[in-house]
Amino acid sequence: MVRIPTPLRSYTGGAAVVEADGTSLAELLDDLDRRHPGLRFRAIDEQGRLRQHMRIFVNREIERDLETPIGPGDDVALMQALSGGCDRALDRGGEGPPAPGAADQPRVTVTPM
Amino acid sequence: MSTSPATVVILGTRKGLFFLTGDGERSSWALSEPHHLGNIIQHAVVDPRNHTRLLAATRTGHLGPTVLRSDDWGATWTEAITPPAFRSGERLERSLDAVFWLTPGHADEPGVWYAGGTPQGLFRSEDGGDTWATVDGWNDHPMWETWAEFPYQGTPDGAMLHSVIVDPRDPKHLYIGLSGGGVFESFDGGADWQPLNEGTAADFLPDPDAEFGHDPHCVRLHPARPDRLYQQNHCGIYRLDRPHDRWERIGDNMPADVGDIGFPVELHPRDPDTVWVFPMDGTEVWPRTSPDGRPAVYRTSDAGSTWMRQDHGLPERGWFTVKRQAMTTDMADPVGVYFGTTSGELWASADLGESWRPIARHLPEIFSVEVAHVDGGFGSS
Repeated sequence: MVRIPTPLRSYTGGAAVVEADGTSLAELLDDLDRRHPGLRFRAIDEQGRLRQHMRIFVNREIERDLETPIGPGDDVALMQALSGGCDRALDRGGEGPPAPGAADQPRVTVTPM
Repeated sequence: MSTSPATVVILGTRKGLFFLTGDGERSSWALSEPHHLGNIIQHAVVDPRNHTRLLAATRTGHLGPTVLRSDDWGATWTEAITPPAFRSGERLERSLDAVFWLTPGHADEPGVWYAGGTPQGLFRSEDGGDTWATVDGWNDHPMWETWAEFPYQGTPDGAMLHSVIVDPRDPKHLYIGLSGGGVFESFDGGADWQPLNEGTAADFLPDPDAEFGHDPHCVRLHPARPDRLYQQNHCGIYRLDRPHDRWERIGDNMPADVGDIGFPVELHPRDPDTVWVFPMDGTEVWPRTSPDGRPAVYRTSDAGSTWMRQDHGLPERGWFTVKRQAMTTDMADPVGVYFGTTSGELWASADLGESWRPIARHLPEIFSVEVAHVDGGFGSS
């Protein structure tokens, strides 16, 4: 299961969590794009790099290497990183998980799901 | 619903796309709800070969670039199946940050569109914008790394490829503009290119006769006289009459206290001698607002020999910028002229620029302004 941020939900019919398979993040993203065409390119550029303001978390840990292996039980979240504007939701105890990675990304806040 | 042609102004803004629909007399205007609210619409262009087709170049602050198509004036939108992109795994590892410019292809090639990007790539679609491929003759040209700004991009908003022009007499004769980089020309459909900058100033380069490296802001070819081009450059206003290849600085005829710096240059659709510009302050630190904060359009009716100030109805003082895609003309008689501001106002003239009035306010920053005349009324197809 992959969690999808709001800007990409137009590709998933509005679904916040969708299914995708793969043994690595790269495979998972390819499968995600097969199921929801067009999604991958908005988040991953043509050279296979995560776009500047997108983040991927695996089991709440930020992950930048798309060759990272993943297993069936892993929690994968694709998220948008913002430099402002979304932390108010966190301040008021917004829905979703606490800001994963926020401690090691002090200048970046993460949109709650 | 009116059966007279509606005038539809298509606005690309920092926060979405808007339609502004005027009646046949262009006297009353209705603003649509935003389309794609929150998405950056860099350029939205109606297909002159199919007046119900509209393409929009878009991205968001987070997501990569793509192209949207509507065949029903925004009632429904379809995203490109294969958006413009550099080739995966290429040597330079280029990644397209933005689709900056859209140009419909030649009338004899009804499915063809061109897209210019940031970085300065050129892309082509042959199916109406659904799938895009790189124009390898440009993107992989042996001189591309020399001509283009890459990887360092000195242009403030990123180096962009703009002003993709298709000669109406020959679909293989193309022009492009690079900010920065200069104007380039191809005679073989984009397989090979050469600079076309002789006569244009580049005050920021040490070589006064540099072959490339210039900063054209906007280049237009006159459809009624395809051998005539106008250019608003970072360093002046120019005209080029082919087969000559030396630009003439017609901006030298502008008032000295106004100068000839700006972004857009727009054409009368039938008179090759009539052109509008919107001068901006290019002194000292380049405020890019109107000189002395006194907004004015300037028009020439003699191909740049003389210029007339046109500010009737415009605010006495104003501190906005008009970007290169944010000014246009319509096809009516008398010709209407339109410009959108960085402060979200759309100004219109229905009399060749003689008088102005705002027809939309409180919009997001306006990036592009295009006009279409729609038979049978807006919304019908």
